[in-house]
Amino acid sequence: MFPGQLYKTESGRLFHAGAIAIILVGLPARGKTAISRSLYRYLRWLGVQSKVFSVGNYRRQIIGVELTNDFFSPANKATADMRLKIANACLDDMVQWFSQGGQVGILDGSNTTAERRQELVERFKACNVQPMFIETICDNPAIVDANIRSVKVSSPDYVGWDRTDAVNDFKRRIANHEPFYTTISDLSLSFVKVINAGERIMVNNAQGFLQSKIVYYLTNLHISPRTIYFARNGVSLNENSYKADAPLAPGGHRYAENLKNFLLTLRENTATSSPTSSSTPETQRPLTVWTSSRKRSFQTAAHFLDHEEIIVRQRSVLAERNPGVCDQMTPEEIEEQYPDEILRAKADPYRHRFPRAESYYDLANRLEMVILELEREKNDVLIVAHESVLRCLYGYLNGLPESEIPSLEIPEGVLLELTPTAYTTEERRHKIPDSVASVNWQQQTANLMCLAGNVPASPMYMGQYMPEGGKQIRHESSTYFSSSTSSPSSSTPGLSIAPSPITSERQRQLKNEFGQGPALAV
Amino acid sequence: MSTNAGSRIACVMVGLPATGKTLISQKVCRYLQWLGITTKVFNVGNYRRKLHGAHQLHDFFNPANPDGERSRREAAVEALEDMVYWFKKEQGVVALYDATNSTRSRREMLMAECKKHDIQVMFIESVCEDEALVLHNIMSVKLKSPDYKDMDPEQAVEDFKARIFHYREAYESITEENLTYIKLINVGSQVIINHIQGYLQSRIVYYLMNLHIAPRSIFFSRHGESLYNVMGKLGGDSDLSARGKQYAKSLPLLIATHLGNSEQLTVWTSTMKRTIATAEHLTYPKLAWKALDELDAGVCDGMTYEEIEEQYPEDFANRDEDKFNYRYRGGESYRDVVLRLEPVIMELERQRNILIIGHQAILRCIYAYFMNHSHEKLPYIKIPLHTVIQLTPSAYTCEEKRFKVDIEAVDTHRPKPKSGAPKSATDANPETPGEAAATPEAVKQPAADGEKDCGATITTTTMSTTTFRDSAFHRTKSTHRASRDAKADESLEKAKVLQSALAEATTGDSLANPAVALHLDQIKTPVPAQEQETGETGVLDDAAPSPLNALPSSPAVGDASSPHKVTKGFDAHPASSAGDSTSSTTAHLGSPIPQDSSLSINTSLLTTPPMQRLKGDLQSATAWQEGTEYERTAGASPRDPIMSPGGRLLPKKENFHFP
Repeated sequence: MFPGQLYKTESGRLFHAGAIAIILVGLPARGKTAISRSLYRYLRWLGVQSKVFSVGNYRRQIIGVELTNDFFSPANKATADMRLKIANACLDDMVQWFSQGGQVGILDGSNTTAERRQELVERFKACNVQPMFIETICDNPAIVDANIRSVKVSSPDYVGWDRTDAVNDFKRRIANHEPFYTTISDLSLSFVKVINAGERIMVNNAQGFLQSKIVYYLTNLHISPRTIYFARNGVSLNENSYKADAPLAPGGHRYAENLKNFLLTLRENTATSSPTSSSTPETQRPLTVWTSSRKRSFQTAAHFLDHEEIIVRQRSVLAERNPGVCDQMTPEEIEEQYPDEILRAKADPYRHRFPRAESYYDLANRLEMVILELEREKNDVLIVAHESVLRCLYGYLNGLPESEIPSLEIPEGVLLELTPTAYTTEERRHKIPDSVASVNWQQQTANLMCLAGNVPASPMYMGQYMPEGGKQIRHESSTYFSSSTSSPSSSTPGLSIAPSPITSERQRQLKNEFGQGPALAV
Repeated sequence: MSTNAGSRIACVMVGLPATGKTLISQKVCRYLQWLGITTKVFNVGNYRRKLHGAHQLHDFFNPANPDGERSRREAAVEALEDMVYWFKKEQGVVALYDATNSTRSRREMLMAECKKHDIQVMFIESVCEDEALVLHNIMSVKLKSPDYKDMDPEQAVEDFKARIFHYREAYESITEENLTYIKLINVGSQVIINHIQGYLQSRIVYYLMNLHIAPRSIFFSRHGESLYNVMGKLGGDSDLSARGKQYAKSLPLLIATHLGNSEQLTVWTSTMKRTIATAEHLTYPKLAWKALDELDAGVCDGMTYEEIEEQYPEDFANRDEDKFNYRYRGGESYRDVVLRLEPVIMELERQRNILIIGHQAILRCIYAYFMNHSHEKLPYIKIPLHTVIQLTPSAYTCEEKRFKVDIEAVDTHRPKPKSGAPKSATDANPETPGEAAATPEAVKQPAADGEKDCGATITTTTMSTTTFRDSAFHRTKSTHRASRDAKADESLEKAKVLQSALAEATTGDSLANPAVALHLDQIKTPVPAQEQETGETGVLDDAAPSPLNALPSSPAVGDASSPHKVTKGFDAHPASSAGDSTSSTTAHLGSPIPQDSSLSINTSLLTTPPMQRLKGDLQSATAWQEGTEYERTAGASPRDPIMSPGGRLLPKKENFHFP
């Protein structure tokens, strides 16, 4: 009778928001791809059917990567036709995807001319999709330069190039585009202009549920470096009940103290050694601690209050997932009393809601404010919260598909250090010395409720950490967890926010159409 | 430096007269206050009127008139001084400085002054190029201003237009690129956002982008009476009672009648059974929000008030002391609910006609947002069952209408016990005249606030139907019927059980008695039409002053066998005159609260193993509230921090006192 959940409908679309084509506009190296990916990550996390269509990826996959800058010159008649064909192939696929129930498609290309934009508007309007443009403008050369150096040079287009050559080549590529670029001035269009990485934002005719969310999201994005830490709360006196909201156990306080000391030492060492001093000499960013209003969380975070410069903030929305009727029940009891619910949870672990409980999806929605605040925050942030909350936030930061969120591993006694970069999030995990794991059935219960199951009981990753003695050594785990990457096309899990690759079939078909197929595509 | 801690923001309005600056200031102020952020509007127009009188003709505003110029500057400076003082004295967080501020030099003066006092300035410029809109604004708002009292309307419009003209001569739109500003062009169809810093500013910007001025109505209704309502229990996820189901059936006609032709509507419910069932017969698009679920009563979920008082006497008392901040153990406080409802409010601002089928605490919070009620009053707002509230926002006020559906329901309202002696029997009486008086007063609150641009225009129309009928009458009738029903064949068994419950509950408070009795009543379902009729007659008589016509019941929607009437009308009488007679029921509220203050937690789930005190005094449980310090016990841990209004935890040792 009732879908019962905010964003899940039979068609997969929100009924109160139509289909939207987000069309990026701007010269190369203006952060279009970064915005596309962030937006995609956000929309997907909101539960919206969305997909990025990257013209650059089509070009790379169809005709390869070894092209020089005159290929991209709009003045080059010989290649102009080719580039248009590629862009249209990408567009066709996007239109096709809308017809299959897609809700927000993101067209990541340069779309620098008014004619091209008009064509796109007509094409999308014809299939009842509202176009919305996001133009990225950057008149600050330092930002462009930093973007070229940090992102473009390591793109697959420049594999094996000398760094300086690559930078110069890319700058010529930009210069080729410049004469043909006109900024959006048609006020009948719905558009957002993001100027100098969000310093200034102009919004025109952006009305509608998703449009307004997208605009708000864009107003919160920034590109300043910062670090986000995750830590779970300490062990409480009653781990098996949500309602009890029990205070920390002595072991929990010990853990909290260790966490504090460990993190502060870690930050000190990072600041002094600063191995990657490519950027400006860093003064240490202030640390803010966010925690929920659940006792064991804020009591864990309260240990940071010994340091006056650290701000500790309590947010009731950071409370853990409410287990509803399953509170205080053992896994056996749940299986016995709610066999049907368990079947349904199996079918949709992310969205299934046990009676009176919150689903992960509910939790994610509740955390939306936190996500936006996190995007905006320029300080370093430590979030001390329950595993369910950290799973959602982690899933967001890494652009993980919703199906993976309920079974993510955010172990006790571990500090996660996450560093958002242009396209992805780098991650390090540190073992907090002397921390004890709680013994409770709540973990299993929680896992059963979302069918996280199948996670090995004895954590295999523990072996990867430094023994407890080596506490100050930053340890990078490399195999088990998704870690960072400088190359946007590698296949680590953290990159699942990258645009989905064109299917090999479609690729073959396109290559045939183009009549050439030097198998240069990686 | 941190961007959102300890920041003080002055939102300085910029724009010609009649471009909606005051509306924006009022709305932002209301929104932030609702969120618990200390906010105030400083309207220079009011200062000008105070200093130089209201009846100033347009010449006063002519930039070429040096006297007028000086006088207006005086008013601006005085408002500014007050604002700076307020930031210091009241620990203000956001001030809205409402004036035209249409010249660059005026803005520079403001910037310089604020900078001296470490106040961030964010300009909010409203540009309105649509003449019709401006004219509409003049007609609907400005003419009611004290400036034009007793003036011929046509003349007043001309004068006001001349005033705008003077301002336009000197008007300089914001172009300074280093300023923090948001420019709203034609009510947000175009928005320019420049150098927004910090989360609070970005939140204000988002809020502004979602505002619209298209006419619309917001309807609220609680779910139909639920089985838990009847039993006097809190929380739960129970189904509707028979009368609740009847109410659900009556809703489509009621809504259709008041929605207006060809108006669209979306229905929002919570994810709980009772709201979804109440929306069942409505044919509009529906959306279920988890965020609309009822306040989580934690360990008290499923208990009656008596049970809570018995098992958690201290909590019970504490809750009445500061109901807004009281957080149920393992559950939520009203403050928590406000925060979780924030996205709902944001979406509500963006939407057109919405019907929210919600729960008591939830609707109190949303209602408080629209009607600008304080956090102290919020938890006591009356949102009776089986009543639809229609709010129609206009420029500075919200027009309210209440439509009571004549299907009986229990009264779940628990008023605030009188301060001073909350535990005495008489004070716990739910329908004291004192409490009843509080509601109309609160409704008029916007008018009493002297900061609106044109104070005279701000009135809140309150049209409510019969105030909730007094419980004495209610109970007598129900008990009477209950005793009849007890003899009824089909539910004799159940009735016996409940009757014994009733007997046990004789010491219960005034809520429980009718509740249990009514449960007996509802077992025998469906209520025969005849009986329903007689029952309702009494009610209608009771509500005699209701002047408007009763709606005919429609066979299409209603249960044909039990016609129910929908009345609408003006406030019948200031609450229950007979209310005092119910006071006899509440004797046991006077039972002493244990003073030793160690918490008695007697459910097994809460028993915690004995523990060592590692740091601080863990056993003295301290309740934590956002924004307030709140202690259940005397011996709180020395390391337990307290919180600032912004949600920041502060070490207790340094910040024991809050100003």
